[in-house]
Amino acid sequence: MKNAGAWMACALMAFALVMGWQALTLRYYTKFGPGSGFMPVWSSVLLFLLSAAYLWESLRRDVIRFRDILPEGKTLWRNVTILLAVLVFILIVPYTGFVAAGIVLLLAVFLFDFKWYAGLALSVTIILIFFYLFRTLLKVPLPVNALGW
Amino acid sequence: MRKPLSVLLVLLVSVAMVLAACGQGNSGSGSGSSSPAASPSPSPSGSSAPSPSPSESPKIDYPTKAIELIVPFAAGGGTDAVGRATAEALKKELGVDVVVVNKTGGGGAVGMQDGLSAKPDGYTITVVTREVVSLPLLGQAPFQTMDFRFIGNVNRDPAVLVVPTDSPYQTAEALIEAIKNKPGSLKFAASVVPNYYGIQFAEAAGLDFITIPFNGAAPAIVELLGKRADFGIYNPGEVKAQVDGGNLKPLAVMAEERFPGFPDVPTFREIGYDIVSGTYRGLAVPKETPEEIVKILEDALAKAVEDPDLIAFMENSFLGRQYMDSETYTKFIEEDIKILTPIIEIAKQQM
Amino acid sequence: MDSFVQLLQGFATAGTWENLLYCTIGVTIGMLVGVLPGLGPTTVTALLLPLTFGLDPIPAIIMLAGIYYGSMYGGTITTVLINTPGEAASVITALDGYPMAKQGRAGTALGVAAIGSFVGGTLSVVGLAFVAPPLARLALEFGPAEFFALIVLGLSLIVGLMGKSLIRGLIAALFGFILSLIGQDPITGSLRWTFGQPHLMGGLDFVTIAIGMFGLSEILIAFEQKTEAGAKIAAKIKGLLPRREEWRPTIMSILRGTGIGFLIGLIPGSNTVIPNILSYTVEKRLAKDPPRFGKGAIEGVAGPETANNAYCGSALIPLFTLGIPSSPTIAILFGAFIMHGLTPGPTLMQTDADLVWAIIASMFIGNLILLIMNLPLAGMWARIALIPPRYLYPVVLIICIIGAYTVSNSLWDVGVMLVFGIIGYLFRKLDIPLAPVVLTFILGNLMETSMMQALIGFQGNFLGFFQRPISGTLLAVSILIIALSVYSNIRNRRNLLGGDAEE
Repeated sequence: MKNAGAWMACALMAFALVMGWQALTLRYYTKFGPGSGFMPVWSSVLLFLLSAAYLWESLRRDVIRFRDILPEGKTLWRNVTILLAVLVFILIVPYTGFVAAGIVLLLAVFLFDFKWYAGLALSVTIILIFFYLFRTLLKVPLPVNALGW
Repeated sequence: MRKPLSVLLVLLVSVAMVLAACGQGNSGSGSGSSSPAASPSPSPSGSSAPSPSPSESPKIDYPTKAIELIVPFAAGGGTDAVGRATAEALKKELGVDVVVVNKTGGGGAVGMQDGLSAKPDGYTITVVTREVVSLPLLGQAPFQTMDFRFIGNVNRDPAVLVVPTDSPYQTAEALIEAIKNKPGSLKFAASVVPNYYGIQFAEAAGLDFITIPFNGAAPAIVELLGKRADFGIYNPGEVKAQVDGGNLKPLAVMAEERFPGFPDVPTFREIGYDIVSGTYRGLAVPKETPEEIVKILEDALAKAVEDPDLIAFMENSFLGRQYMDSETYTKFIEEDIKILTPIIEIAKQQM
Repeated sequence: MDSFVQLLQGFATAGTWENLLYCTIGVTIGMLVGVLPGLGPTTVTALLLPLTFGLDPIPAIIMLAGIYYGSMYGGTITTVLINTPGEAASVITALDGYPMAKQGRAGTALGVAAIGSFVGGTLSVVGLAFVAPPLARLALEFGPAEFFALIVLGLSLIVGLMGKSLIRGLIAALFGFILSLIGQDPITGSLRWTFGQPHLMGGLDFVTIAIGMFGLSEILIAFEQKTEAGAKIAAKIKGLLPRREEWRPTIMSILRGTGIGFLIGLIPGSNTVIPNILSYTVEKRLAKDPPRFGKGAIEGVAGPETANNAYCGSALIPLFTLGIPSSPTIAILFGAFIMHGLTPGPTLMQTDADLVWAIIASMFIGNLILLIMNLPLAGMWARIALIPPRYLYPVVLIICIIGAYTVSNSLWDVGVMLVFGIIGYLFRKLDIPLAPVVLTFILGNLMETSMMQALIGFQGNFLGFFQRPISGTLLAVSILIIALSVYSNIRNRRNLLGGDAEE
């Protein structure tokens, strides 16, 4: 199934199901009116129905294939790398600190367009500028490691 | 495809290396990720005798660098104000920078938990409020109240009962009368959910009223001023502007003594109901923190609360001052746990 | 006119070199920091509050007010240039501001925003100065029921932003609505959909969702632009001012925006989204050719931006006259007042009148400084949009990460941003509009809360909503709008007309 719209609709339906299921554990109605469960349940139901309609629409009329919307080759890899790099950043920042993690992140992105030494130079400069700007000048807390950077 | 692949490899390898090398690493200050409880520091904590170290002098080198003060609530609020003012005063006593960091979330749970999982070296202090007692009781905190070592209390705000100035009930007794005559009809504009002040009020006087919950004192006060609610119970700082402006009238305070900012307002005890409630803010560190450091902090705080700038600020803002040293504060908190437990039971049933 | 004289005296105080300097510093810093997505007015004001500690009350508050205004404009800059609305107010601006930037008219968009902000801000400060007290009393009539009705009105207008597919638009809106319900139920305090995470207890944060859905997805999509030629076309920055034939509609939308923003700002507890949506929708409906909206219609930027600043000015009225802060940012200003020993409220006008007038005068001045600074700077800002993506977007990426982190100083928000970045990317590719998601996110929770509060007050009687004049009227209007929108949407589909704003 290459139909992107259909996949999204299914994902939304699953989302609605999970949320609706959870919502049922909440109190539905109190003596003053709707309880905490009221809105969640109905919103989930509505979302489910609408997603089903979306699914129908994707299959019958407005077919959008993955191939049409997602990029290919280098561009695809670049985007995947960006996302992965952010994830990596989040994972390693408590240990390596903002500066190191940031350099890794930027380097990963720059490597697609620049040679490694140019990318490295750019990354280091940019991260250091930001670090100085935020930590020192504005005193905005940044995610740092035990050493303080 | 070779280049992108190698980039990915670089990323993965760096992650693997870092995770392997820093297996036991504790998260540094400011990172916010929850890590397992810190390994206990070499000196015994909680013991009153100084550790038999070779140097034998109790003087240790603390503090030598900036201290982080975690405020578990948003900037601009009452707790934040107390935290920042105390930080300023502490700076003068300790001689190092005390930097305030707001870590919001979970009604205070996130910031307090972050304070607990920091290294117990005295460089991360947390401002604790009544939530340090109430959240674990509600089951909404990943920690227990006594996981903290309490250094001292700075602020204590009693709860004060207010009505609009032109309300038909001009005394607390009149209001209580009216509520008893019309059960389930008079409306209380609550600023926080669940509202311990309201529950205590209802329990102690045997009252039945409607509670309209609001997110903060400001919208609750608007409800009062717009005559859609009959009374409210808030902290003095929240109503000062209104009382000064003649819009609200305080009827009684839930404290042991009259509140200095409202000298003519009786306490609930004076009119026959034993209700003492309010919120408080103090400082705490993880309980594994070495005794010497706690002592240094305690002494510094004791002096800091005498700082004229701090005193002026608290009085201007109608923040009640009540300093308690470490031992007194700890006992106070244990008392508060006992007081809050039944109230929270009631609150849980309403959820 | 007594007030007028006092205002002149206020100008005298505010016009001293010292105060002017602080005003300028405040506006500049506020703007620069506000440029960063994620650092919205609230965060910026809170962060920079310590800078004012050492100052006397008047300069301190003048500087803070400058920071407040400056940061609102800073957010606009980022939104127009890189489609990353960092605060609620900017989301609507993005709808037409960013397309304008892509057409090379970033300078115009920013210029119009600056002018509109100036006019709106100034006129509302005038209102603040002269008609504040009676209006404030009126605002007290706005209780939860009225609030609920107002939000329903706002939500009904979102239907007008749905785009081609009603189904997808509604899905987006519902998705945002459900997201807004995550967290502690405002009425009972019970936890909804928190899955055991303390970070979710307060709900998701708007900023992280916005940065993720708009900003991160923008980065991903920008890298996919095949041609650098696109950038070359836009290289002709077409100047700062609207074209001649656009002047009249622009001015009209600015005036309308001022009125709308001013009125809504009086209501304590409202937020910037409502005047923005109202202004945008009003402009769109009044325009001769609505399909132009969403593709770079200048009224779509002028109106909401003006409404925004007008809102800011009049939102200070409840603070000054009643001592009630209308929004978190103003609450910080409130705290600043208190820290310097002043208590906002009716007494302040009596005891420290000269101080208040000086502050009001400085707001005029602050608005003016913003305008003067930004008109020439707009061209410079606009050039930033021309930096080739491979340089620009990695930097934007780091900015987004920092912005997300500052929300609550934890990596959790960066993670949320990442997730929503992916979601936003997919949504955009599939033509699911993003604006309804964030707009219902902001309004959904508020709507439910107000409804519950009102119902408790009515003791369970739903009819109470219609028995009160203001809420009844607003609700009736909303129902009308929804009916009309759905009807016209279906009719358009039948006529195979392309239709309204698309993402």
